[in-house]
Amino acid sequence: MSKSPHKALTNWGIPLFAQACSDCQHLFYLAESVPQSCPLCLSPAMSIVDNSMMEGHEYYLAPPEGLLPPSLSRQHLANILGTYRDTLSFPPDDMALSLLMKRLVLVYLPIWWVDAHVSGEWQAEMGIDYKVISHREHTDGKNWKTQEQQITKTRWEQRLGTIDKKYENTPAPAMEKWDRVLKYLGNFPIHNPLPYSARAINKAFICLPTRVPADAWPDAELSIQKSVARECMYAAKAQHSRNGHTSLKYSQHKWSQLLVPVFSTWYEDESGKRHAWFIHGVNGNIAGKRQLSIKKARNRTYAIATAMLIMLALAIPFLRTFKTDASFSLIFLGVIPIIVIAILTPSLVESFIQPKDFNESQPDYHFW
Amino acid sequence: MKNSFPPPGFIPDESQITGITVFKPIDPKEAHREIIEFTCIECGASRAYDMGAGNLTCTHCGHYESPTHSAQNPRVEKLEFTLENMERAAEGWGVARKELACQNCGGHTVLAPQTLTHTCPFCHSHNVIQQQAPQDVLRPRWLIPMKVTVQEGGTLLRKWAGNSWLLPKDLSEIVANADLSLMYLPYWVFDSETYAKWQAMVGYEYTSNQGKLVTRWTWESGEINTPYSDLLVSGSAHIQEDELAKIGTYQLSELVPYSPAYQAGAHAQAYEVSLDQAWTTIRQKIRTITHQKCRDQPGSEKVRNFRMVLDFKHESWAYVLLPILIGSYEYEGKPFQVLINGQTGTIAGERPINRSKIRWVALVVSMLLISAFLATWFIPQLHSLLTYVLIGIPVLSLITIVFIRRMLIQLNRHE
Repeated sequence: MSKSPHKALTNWGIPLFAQACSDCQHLFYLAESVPQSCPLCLSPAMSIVDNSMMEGHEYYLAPPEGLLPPSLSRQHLANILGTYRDTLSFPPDDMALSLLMKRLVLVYLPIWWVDAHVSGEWQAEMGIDYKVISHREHTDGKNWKTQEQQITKTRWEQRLGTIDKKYENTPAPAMEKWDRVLKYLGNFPIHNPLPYSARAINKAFICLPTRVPADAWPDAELSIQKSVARECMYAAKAQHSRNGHTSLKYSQHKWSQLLVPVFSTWYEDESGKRHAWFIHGVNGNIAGKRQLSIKKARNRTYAIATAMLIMLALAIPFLRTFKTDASFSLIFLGVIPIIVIAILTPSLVESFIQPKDFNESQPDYHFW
Repeated sequence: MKNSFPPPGFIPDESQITGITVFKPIDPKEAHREIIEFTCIECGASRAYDMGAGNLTCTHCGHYESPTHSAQNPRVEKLEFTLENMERAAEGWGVARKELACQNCGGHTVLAPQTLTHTCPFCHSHNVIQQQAPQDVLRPRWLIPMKVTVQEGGTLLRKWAGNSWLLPKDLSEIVANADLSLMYLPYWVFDSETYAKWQAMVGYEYTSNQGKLVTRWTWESGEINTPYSDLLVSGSAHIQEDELAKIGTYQLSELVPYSPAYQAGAHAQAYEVSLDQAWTTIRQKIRTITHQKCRDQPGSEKVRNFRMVLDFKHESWAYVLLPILIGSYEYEGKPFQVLINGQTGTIAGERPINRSKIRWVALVVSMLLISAFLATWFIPQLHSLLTYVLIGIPVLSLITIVFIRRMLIQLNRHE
């Protein structure tokens, strides 16, 4: 445990400690000096990192530029978790809603924001929409009616020009496998975040970037080029563009972070293995492996099988009377248990075969 | 990217975003010159377009030079019915009358708003007035050069005035003095593809078991795709469409890019019939033709509850100038107008009839019929022919009337 707060932690507005997970290799800032379990891979205890490790990594030391606050209330989170849990037939005992809510923590994930000055030349074929009047004539055999229609057509014209402007806050992934996060949880609305405030990160895990700016630059450059192409089209008063070429130079790079919220919780399955669930802090999408309790399913299977056997034992004597000249009512008493057995058969199959198939079919949500 | 920016052929365009400049290709449009004079560089006299040579020739010393564009008949580029074009075309030319001071002799003339050419009435100097069109697309872009000279027109007229025995003998001499003017008339040319879908109840007749003729009605439908190209409509309101139809069609394959040099020495007018009006006229013609084609598709002539939808696609237009010679002459105090197709030489116009010749013909035929009647009536040996004569009188009279009427109609058709 570090004897004094990390010096860079004062830049963030509140005293923060750096903790590292040796399993998933992620680094966190949090206001807790006691080692916590990793909110991403659920490793039992992270280790405090000495502040000297941060020196030389300015992008770790500087506070973020912006922050997207979570927009889900506790009640909303409880509903999301409850719905996700209740769709299971045999949830394990540790998947109780009260336990899930108790373990819920807020994790801020980083996204790079880069400012860059772009200069150079561009050229493209621009598609300019224009309206053309077309006609339709109707007749019912006696009278004619003319209907005018407007059809939108596109004419393509060559345009070129120069560009000399600054692009601010171009996003680029700051974590590996960010595409998987977006795939399972969805995009974050990062166009209007709030300025960073220390109060917002209190009691939250702040995940630090795992991609350095040099690694993230190709993604940022691609985003900038798309923005350039789009703005050149708007500048030329066009609605479409194709066959574009650019010759661009980038300068005055400035990197900062934007934090986006994700909630993390976990449960233990029957074998004692922990599984994490993640909830998008804005749109409420939830992702995480759900494991049924095989033990509960088996118990139910046995109960149903026992009931079916009892029904069968009751049915056989009554059905035997079919061979004799017994009254119809006796035979009917034998048919009823058969019907009950037929009704119980799908439940038997569900509780015996499906839980194992369901558990094995769950995807591995390996975000990190 | 090249070191010199922008490359040649590009000019600045307005940019909607600060920090981004935009360049667009130069529009290959000729600089507008309001008045173009055609004076000879050798002697200063007036020049006119020489149809035979296909160039501008001085009327005094014979010096010649070719027009700007060579007559190589490139494919006529037609324009689309964009909203902008339709709005501008509806506005018309919207220019006031213009006063022109001749640069040669100083004479002042007032020009009508849609006049495109002018010959000074004082010194016969030729000018072409390029009125600034409300939109570039509404200036004439194509024309067929004049092929029939005034002298050739006069020769054609003299032949035309003497090619029937019903015409007065002195008509050829009078027509020889007719005042012929070379003129370019405005025309609209249209292309379109059409898609027609029809539905109707079609009746088929059959003979029933009882021997009665019965009609069985069934619903049928069909469709027709037809392309139309180079449909012409006159843009002039001064000469009626049916009059222009008499001088025949023009070969639009001989259209050349517009050059004011072609108009030197000729009159020209801008359009008076708007683009929308002209296209409406053509659409009405197309729908009549298509309607008939659809009615012809079913296998029976008995059709009822006929419905049709006609869609126009890829509609395009062009504004062209076509050559014509217009002349007039007087006979016995009555004016007659004559039109000559400036490309083919086809003549259309009314000609005066020698009524005394018709009276003589009628008189001779009548005398013959009366003589035949009297002979068969009074000469006993010819009594047996009386019946034939009585039948022959009305028949021959009818034939004579029809013959003379056809001669008169033929005289007033185009030749």
